[in-house]
Amino acid sequence: MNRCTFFSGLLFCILQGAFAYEEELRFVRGLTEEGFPKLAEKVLFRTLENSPEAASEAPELRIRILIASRNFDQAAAQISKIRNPEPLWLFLAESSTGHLAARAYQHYFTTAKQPNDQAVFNYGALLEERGDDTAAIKLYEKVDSRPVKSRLAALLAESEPDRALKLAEEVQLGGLDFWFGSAVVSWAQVMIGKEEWDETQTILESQLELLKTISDSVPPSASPLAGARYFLGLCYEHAGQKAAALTQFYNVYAKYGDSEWGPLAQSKAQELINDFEAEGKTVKIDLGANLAKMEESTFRVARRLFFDRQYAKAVPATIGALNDYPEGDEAVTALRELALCAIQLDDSLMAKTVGVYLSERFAAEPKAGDALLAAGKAALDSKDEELAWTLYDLFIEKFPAHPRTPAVLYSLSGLRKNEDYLFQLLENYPDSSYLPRALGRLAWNAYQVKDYKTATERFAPYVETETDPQKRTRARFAFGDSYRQLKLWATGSACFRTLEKDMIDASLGFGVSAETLSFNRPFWEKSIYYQAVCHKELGVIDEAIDRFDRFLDQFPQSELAEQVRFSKAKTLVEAERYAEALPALEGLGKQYAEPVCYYRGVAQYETGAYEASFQTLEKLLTGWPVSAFKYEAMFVRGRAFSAAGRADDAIRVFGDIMNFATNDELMHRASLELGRAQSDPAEKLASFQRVALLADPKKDADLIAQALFESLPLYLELDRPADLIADADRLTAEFPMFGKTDEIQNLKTKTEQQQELTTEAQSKG
Amino acid sequence: MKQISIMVMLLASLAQAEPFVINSAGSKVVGSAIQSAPDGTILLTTLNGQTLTFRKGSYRQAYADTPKELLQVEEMVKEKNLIAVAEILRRVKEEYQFLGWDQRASLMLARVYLPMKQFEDSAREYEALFAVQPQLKGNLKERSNYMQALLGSGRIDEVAKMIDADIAFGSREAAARAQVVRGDMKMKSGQVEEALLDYLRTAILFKAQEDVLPEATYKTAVALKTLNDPRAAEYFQKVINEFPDSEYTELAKEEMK
Repeated sequence: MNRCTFFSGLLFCILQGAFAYEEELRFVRGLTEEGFPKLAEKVLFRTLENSPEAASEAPELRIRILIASRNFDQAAAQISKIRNPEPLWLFLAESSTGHLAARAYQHYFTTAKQPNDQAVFNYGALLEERGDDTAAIKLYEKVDSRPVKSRLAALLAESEPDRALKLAEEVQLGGLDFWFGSAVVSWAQVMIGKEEWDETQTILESQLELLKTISDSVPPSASPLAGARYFLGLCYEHAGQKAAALTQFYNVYAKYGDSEWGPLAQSKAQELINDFEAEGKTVKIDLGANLAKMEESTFRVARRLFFDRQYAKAVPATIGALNDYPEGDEAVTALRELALCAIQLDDSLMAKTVGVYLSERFAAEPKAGDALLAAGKAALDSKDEELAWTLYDLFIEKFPAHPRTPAVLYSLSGLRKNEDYLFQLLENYPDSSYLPRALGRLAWNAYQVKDYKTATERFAPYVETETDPQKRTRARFAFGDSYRQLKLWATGSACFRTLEKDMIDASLGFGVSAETLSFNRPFWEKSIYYQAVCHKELGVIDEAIDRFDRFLDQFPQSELAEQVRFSKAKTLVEAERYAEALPALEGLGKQYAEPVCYYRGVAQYETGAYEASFQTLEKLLTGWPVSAFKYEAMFVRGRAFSAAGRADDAIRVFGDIMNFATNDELMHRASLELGRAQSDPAEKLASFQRVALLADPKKDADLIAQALFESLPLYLELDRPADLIADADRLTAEFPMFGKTDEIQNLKTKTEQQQELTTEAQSKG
Repeated sequence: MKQISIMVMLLASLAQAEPFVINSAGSKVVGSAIQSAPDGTILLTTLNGQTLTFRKGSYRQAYADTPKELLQVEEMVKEKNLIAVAEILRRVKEEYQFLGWDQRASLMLARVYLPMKQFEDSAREYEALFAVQPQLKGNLKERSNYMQALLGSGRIDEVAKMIDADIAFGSREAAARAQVVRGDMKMKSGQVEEALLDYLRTAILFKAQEDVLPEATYKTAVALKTLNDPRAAEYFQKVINEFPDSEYTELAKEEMK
């Protein structure tokens, strides 16, 4: 069935909604066999949707789809679960290669009662290729077709010559086709084994023309003429006609070098040449029109070994050919194969030698660059990273103009986690399509390791060059986020603004897809949210609130909405816009209950709702006894009590803080607040002096200064002028930044005047 | 051995001939004696005793008979008296300026300075020659000698460039030689594996370059041995089997003991 027919069928199916499901399943099967697994999957999916009763046939078809998608291991694992696995094993065997194909054939032949002729032939060929002739013979004996008999004759030619001869003759009687030619070769081999030289020579000579005609329709590597001429050469050699033999061997070598007879013919030809030369004769082979082919043929023998994975044999053969034609058309390809052989043989010295040679001597040929890349890949596959990096580095150094160089630099930067390759790409290939990718990778690398300064420098050019909208969106977000992390709020905000604008433009684009909108949405949301965050940090609260509100208007259903609402309320509290904060704190979800409770308590206190405030904060302290806001809430609560005229409660709260404080700072803050809540001047002074005298001037300078300052009027009240002057002097000397100089000076002047008056009175008295 | 081979080369072109001048019209004027002045003027005594003066620019080529001093050189070489050889060559070079022998003497000097280890002098002679005879730089043997002179003078970067150029673009023979020289340089600087890559490449892929092959194969084996690679023995054996007449065979046999 050709592809056109299938596509027509597909169209027909699409147009006919209610197609009988059996027909559709046949169609699915056909699509898998023709190599359209994705289409097959779609048709199967639709069929099962429309006809659930077809489900029983789905497992087999799914396996077929897996096979057609080349998911062989997965398919193999599922075949054994199927009731009738035989055709599926065969399908898998025919679709795969190597060990998997062999395993699939084994399963097939274990269960198949009447094995398929073609399967026997194919599996037999596979076994022969793997050198398991015994198993191949056993298999071939299962069926009676001419191709199989022909192969069997070839395999039995040495071990069972009589049987092979009979089989070869039977095949010859079946018709004048390729199998006839193959059987002639097997026949000749047997006859020579029986030393029937004359008869063999006569028959082969008489059949040459016919074999030539047969060979026209097959590739040279399979031509029966190769074997026939090889055996004819042996006959001539046996008859002492060395020149004629050499002609035959060279013909095989030159024309059918990659057939199984090529290497044998070459070896025989060389033996004859050596014989001639030993006799003092010079061998001049007039290759005429075959001269050009000779080079190709020389390499072909080596190549055949390479493709047969006989790497150890391929290496000397390739080196031999390369020394015959060191810089011919085939040289680079041969060097590539030599390097690959060396890698397969774990000979990294040889691979490196060839790699360096390719890179120096053939640097002008892009093919040599490709060869290095192939070798590098093979080395990577063989887990020889050191060799792979050597080969790739050679490629980069010696093939700067190769079209794949930018791509290789880009890949290596990832594989080796080395940014130098990317810098090389940026410097030397500014017009490459890999430039944006390189910029992107550099930027993302910096972002991922939290080197935000470098990230901003790298994202800047990247966002301007990246053309993929999704990648650009991600990059723009990370660009802004890097500034945010660096606390460069203004630049960060500008980046998020640009991202927001991009998102708006994209949403308004003609025919914008749902996929694009869906992708963009989280970035759009965050672009607005982070603008608000940046504005808040810059202290531009109106702008921040504007962005929070914009977010909530545009994306009320967003997953971020709750967070944004909370951030807005918190921002208002922190900006001391308590009256606006209170409604903003309403209706927030449970996950924010604890901080909301605290902020509400603060806002209530600050708006004069003291009763509500200490009740709210009481709720926090009982609901979350180990809350992070615990002490701050206690402070506010204490102040609220104090402001509400409940000094005793306030003193109790501050006292609690002092009793349970986990650090000195809390204790000194509580002492300061305690002093403020107390009414007795001596007690107040004692609380302030506890701070002034015990707090660490390095850590709690502000607290000490405040405590000293608040002590001054108390000294006045308690008539302790000397202490007032001493603390006032300490305050101005040690805390010059505290300010309030005039007030301090006034208190000092006042007490000095008092002192003068007292002294005067005393002197008069 | 190298010293003698250079001297044999040096003497090979010495032969007797009559002096002559080819004038600007292309006519050859044969004489019985010839002299040159530092300004390029040539005085040719014709066969009938007349003296002809050729100013610089009025003749294409002037040629003197083989300087008799050069005939002494052969004996001196046999005695390995290279200092005296160099002295004669320097004199000939000066006295026979413009008469064909100055450049010959210069080339001989360039060569003779090498076994005398006067590498800088050798390099200087070669450079002067290359300036007037650029084609000489393409001569494989002279190029190789010049590289040796540069190496001896410590002008490593220049040699390295020449070597890399030969390896990439030179004839296969030049490339093979250059690979071995580069291998030597790397070996000397302790880059054994790098050296091995050059030697091995030459040994396996330059089999037609038979002059270099024994050396490359032997040095491959030495580098492998230095790296404790068991394949060293295989390459020493190769030297012994495939190049039995080579000077490296004895060395390989020593290594195999």
